[in-house]
Amino acid sequence: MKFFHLSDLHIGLKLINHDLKEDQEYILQQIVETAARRQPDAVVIAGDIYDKAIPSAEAVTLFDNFITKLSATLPHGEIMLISGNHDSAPRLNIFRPLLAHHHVHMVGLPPMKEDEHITCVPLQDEYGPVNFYLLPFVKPSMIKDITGTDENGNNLSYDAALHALIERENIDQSIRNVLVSHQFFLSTGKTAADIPQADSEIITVGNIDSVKGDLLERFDYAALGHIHIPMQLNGRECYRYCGTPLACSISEAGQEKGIIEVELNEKGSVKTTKLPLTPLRAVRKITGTLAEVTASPSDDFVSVTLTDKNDLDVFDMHDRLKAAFPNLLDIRREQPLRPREQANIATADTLTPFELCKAFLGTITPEEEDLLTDLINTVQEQH
Amino acid sequence: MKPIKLTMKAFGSYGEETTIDFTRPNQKLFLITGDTGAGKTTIFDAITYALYGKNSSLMNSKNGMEIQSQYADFSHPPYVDFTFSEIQNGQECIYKIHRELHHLHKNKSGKNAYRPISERITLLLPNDEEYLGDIQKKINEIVGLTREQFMQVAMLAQGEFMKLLRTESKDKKVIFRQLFKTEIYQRLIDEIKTRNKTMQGELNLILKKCQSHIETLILPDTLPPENPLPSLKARLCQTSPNIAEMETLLQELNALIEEHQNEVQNQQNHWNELSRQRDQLNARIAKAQELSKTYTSLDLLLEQEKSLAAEQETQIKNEQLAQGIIHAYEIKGIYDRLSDKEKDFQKTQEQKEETEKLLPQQGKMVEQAQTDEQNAQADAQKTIAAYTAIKNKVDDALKQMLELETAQKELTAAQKQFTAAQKTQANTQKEQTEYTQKLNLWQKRVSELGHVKADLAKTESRQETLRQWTATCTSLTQLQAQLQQADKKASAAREKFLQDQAAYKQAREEYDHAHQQYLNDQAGILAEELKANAPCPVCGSLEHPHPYVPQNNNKAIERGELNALEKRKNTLNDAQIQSAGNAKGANEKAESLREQFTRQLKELQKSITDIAHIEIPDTLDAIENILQKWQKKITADITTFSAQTAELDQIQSALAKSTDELNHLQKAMEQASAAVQTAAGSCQSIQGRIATLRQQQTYPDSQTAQAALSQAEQMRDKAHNVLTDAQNTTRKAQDVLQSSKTILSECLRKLPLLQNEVAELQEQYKKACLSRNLTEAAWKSLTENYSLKEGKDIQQACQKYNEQLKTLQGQKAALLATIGDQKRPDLLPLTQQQQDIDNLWKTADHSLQTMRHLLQQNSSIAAYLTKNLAQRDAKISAAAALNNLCERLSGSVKGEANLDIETYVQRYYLEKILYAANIRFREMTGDQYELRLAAPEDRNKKGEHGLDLNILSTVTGQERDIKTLSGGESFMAALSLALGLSDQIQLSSSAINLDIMFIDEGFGSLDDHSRSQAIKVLKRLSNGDKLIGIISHVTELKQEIDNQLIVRKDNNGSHVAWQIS
Repeated sequence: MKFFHLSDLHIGLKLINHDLKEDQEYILQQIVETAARRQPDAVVIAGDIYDKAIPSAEAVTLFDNFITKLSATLPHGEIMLISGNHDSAPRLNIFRPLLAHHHVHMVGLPPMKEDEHITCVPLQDEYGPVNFYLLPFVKPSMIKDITGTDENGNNLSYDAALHALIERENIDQSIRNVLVSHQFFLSTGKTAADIPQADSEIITVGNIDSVKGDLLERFDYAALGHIHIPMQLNGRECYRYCGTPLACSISEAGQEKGIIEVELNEKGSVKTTKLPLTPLRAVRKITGTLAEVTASPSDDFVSVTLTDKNDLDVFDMHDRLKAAFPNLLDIRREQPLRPREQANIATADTLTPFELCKAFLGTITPEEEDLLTDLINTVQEQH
Repeated sequence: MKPIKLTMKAFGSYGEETTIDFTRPNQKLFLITGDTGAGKTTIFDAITYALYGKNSSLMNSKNGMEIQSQYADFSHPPYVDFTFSEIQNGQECIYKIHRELHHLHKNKSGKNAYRPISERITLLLPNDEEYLGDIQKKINEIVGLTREQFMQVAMLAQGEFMKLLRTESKDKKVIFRQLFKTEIYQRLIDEIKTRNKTMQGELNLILKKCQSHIETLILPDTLPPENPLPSLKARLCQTSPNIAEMETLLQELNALIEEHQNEVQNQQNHWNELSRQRDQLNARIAKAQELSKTYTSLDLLLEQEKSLAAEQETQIKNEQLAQGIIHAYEIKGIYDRLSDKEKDFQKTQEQKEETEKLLPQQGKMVEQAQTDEQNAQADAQKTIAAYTAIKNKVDDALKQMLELETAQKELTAAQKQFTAAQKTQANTQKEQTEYTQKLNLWQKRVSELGHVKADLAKTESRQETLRQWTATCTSLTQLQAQLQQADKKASAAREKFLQDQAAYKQAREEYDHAHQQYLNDQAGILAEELKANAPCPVCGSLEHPHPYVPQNNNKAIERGELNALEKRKNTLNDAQIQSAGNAKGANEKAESLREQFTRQLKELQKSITDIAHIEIPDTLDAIENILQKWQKKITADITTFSAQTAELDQIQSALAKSTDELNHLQKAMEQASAAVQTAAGSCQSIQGRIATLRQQQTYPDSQTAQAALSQAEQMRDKAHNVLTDAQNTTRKAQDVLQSSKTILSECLRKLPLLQNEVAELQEQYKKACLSRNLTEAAWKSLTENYSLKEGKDIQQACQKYNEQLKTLQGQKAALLATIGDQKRPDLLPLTQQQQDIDNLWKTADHSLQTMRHLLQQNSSIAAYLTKNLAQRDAKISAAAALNNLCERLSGSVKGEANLDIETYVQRYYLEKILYAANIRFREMTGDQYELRLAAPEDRNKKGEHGLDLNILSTVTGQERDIKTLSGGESFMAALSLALGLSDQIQLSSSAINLDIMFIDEGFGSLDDHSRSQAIKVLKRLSNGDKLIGIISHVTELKQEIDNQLIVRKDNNGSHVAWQIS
């Protein structure tokens, strides 16, 4: 069977106060068209549907249109979505059984009571059944009742909680299993510092939400979301983050965005293809003098770094740049550090009062020096 | 300073005791969130209050009574308990502050009266002892910051973060002075200013002193009018002294002094001339005066001489009389001596005759006394001999009596010993008999108790068997119970089986019925379709004589239904079979248990009958009763037997010891009898001794012996006395005789001498009368009329008169000699001359003195002035240098930037802070802005402004005032500045560990992008040791930050709960 793996739509996102509604609409339309062309059996969206927990009205409308169109394009396909850390889990969980009836599995809440289990959507293909395990973003406090607490009564760590949650499922290893999850997985043997993270992601302090990647080995394919840059885990192409379909921050400028098409054949055979997406307006970084930069105007979202050495007239520069780039994100100047700053960096050590006074007075005769020394000594003795 | 736990009660909106444990969050960044008015800022207030006694807001401070919660009644004191840790010397020390607010306390006396109770603080040190002393100062010391600094750096209160950005330079100066300890520069400026002032003061003082001296300058009136000195002096004395004028004055003064010196010289000469003249004249006058004096004295002398001449005659007569009296007295002396001597001679003669008469009588007395003496001596010797004899006898008798007494004492002692020995003997005897009696008793008892041990053993074995039986009884009861249960189960299973069977039967019937019907129906259906000459599907015949007619009242039965019924029947069959099986099983179990029970009961019965040989009933209960009765009896037996065995053992041990006892007693017996015998022996010997002694007694007792002795003594003494008396009388008589003899010889010797002397004196008397020419009657009358003294006086007076006369004459001669041939002088014209010259001299002298005085004064003033002005010049240069330095350091040099040294140093530190702050500020604003210090030159404002801040926009490259930032941008600037400040504080004094930062709101004023940037900065910061607490109600933060402290408020006040991810 064939299915699409995408994630981190971040519908409703604003890029430095620029509304990305049009761009997101464009990209979502592209995805629908790709689905119409390729006709997968399922579309898996691995979390971070919205950018905010309470999305704006336009964002909700956008999402509504997208899902409706997608569903219309794939009348027999299953659409599976999970909530991410940016979403509000209970809100995405509404009408679950009703939607499931119509081949849309939108899972917002993970199992939270003892008798609940990870939502499993069983599909069939010519090779047999395929189980899709839809696990939305989990915080240890959510699944406290299932996993219990540690000896101090505190919640378990993210890693331990996830392990406990998955191990209690009876995963039949004889059939193909796919995990859809939205957590911060680390490749076995790597640390959090090795993962490049974009500006637009929420980074926890101390990376406490990292989960070890050995968990994924039970599954034939792991459709993961959360990291905005596409990457593969454990050195295998079957465990991967697909990345955002649209650049969400300046640090993602220049990346190739796309969605993943996964082909599952018999057990043990997984093939993935990357289907690229072209955005309506790219996010770029431009460096150069004002003249160079304004020579190539565009509608893209640009971050301009001016290398002019001379002082520019402020209003002039603004006007020109705005004329060239109507969607200007920010302007920076590339300047060498002022010498004063460098001097300050150097003097990390403190000067004595005598030296400070000398520096303040500038030129000073020897008699004045003596007088100064005498004064300082008197004052210090008095204290 | 890292907070560990905070407990508050009746504080703000927290009525009940609320505890917040800051060690719960597993990340260093946590969010305090809740509705408006829930009590979020109150938590920060509590921490600040615990540390500093005031709440966290600088603009909106509340005192204790305002903070006191109205959710708690006023009978509980509101308090805050804050535990925090501080790293000191590398060790973590835990401190605990307990502060009770100044609050109103409800009076116990019923009425709704409240009285205010003041604040109480206690501080517990790490070693659990309480700190006594200035607690607030100690807290400041431990934390290292005062409240203002704490509010700037560690706690950004709501709406007040802009303060640090926008305060004026001079307020910033005060804050930084405390933070960076730049007081030394302030003191430096003060010191140099004081020194400058003192220096100036000294210079002025010198001038003033010169001025005062100038006032005493004496200017003569003879000065020419164009001389500037008077005017100069006047000016200098009035106003403050001017150095230039003073110098000109000095010059003029020196010139004047020279003039005056010449003048003085002239006057001096004039004065000398006049003095000389005056002296000469004075000498002449003196001489003349002397001469006139001599003349007057001469006149006096001549008068005196005349008066003396008149008295001369009487004086001669008196002299003669005096002479006669003296002679008369001389003669009287000699006459007296003569008469005395004659008397002596007479007396001696008489004495001699008397003594001669007494002599023979005395001789006779002497002889008598000697014979008496000899008799007395013989008596005395006799009595002595008798005395010694008696004494010896008495001594012997006394010795004997002593011996007798000692012997008697010994006897009594010996008798006592004897009686004691007898007593011990009797005791030992008694003991022995008693002991033999006891021995006999014990042996009897032993024979009685011989068999007791065997009895005990038997009883114990019986006890064993009884115990076994009771055990079996208990197991049997258990078994009985099990049996009952099994019976119950079996009956239940049976019933169930019956039920199932019935159900199955019913189902089977139904099914059969339905099946039949179905078949019938099928047949009917089939029958319906049957056509002649068509084969029947069932049997295949071509004829259908009796097709089945379905009955109308039956409803069609589906195959499915039938199947269902069949299934049901089958299931019920299965159930039935199963329950049959169950019932059977249960039954069997019950049976086996019953068999077991009866078997065991029978065994028990058998064993009891075998051993106890009595009939016992069959029931278990009865058996148990009997066993219990037996148990009681046996236990009683066992106790008695064991007691008896113990006794037996005791007796036997005692018996073992008996032989030794007997031997011991026997020995004692023998010892006692031996003692008795020896005592008796000694008694007898002593008694014998006493008898012998009694026989030898001479005197009956000591007293009579003593009496005899004393009598003999008395007689001896008497005789002795008589002898001594006799000796005395003899001696006395002899003495008397001797003395008479000596007197006689003496008188004989003296007589001739006296005779000679008498003759001599008579001679002398006669001679004297002749020489002095006085008859006996004459001189006697003289002596009667006049005393010797009178005569002498008269003589003296005459002598005096003579002398007077002589001296007078002598003086007269001398005076005449001195006068010589000089005439009497005339003094008047001379005195006149003298006066004139005197006046002249005086005036000259006076003017000289004044001139000298003037000169001296002026020259001293001139000297003083020169000296002091020179001194002042020397000091001027140093003063100028000092002044210059002072102005430069305190920033009061005109025309340059108004920076003093302290501001300069603070700017230096502030630059470092801004560098650290800018790192974060740039990140938060996306490299748009930087913080800069305002350069001091380019301002036109008055007052201090060395510490103002500017914003540099990297886009425009230009700076502008920090007041132009918007609200959100100001928040980010304030946050970066606070972070930079805390960095610098920690660098500059590593004793201050500021491990917390609290930010109260402010994120609401940022847009999404800026807020996420700010949170990124804070998250990065909290990767270290810093604990960052944020109060905010922004929803997105609740999503982003895992550790949250939820504050709720209901009717009872506020409550907090941690929500950890």
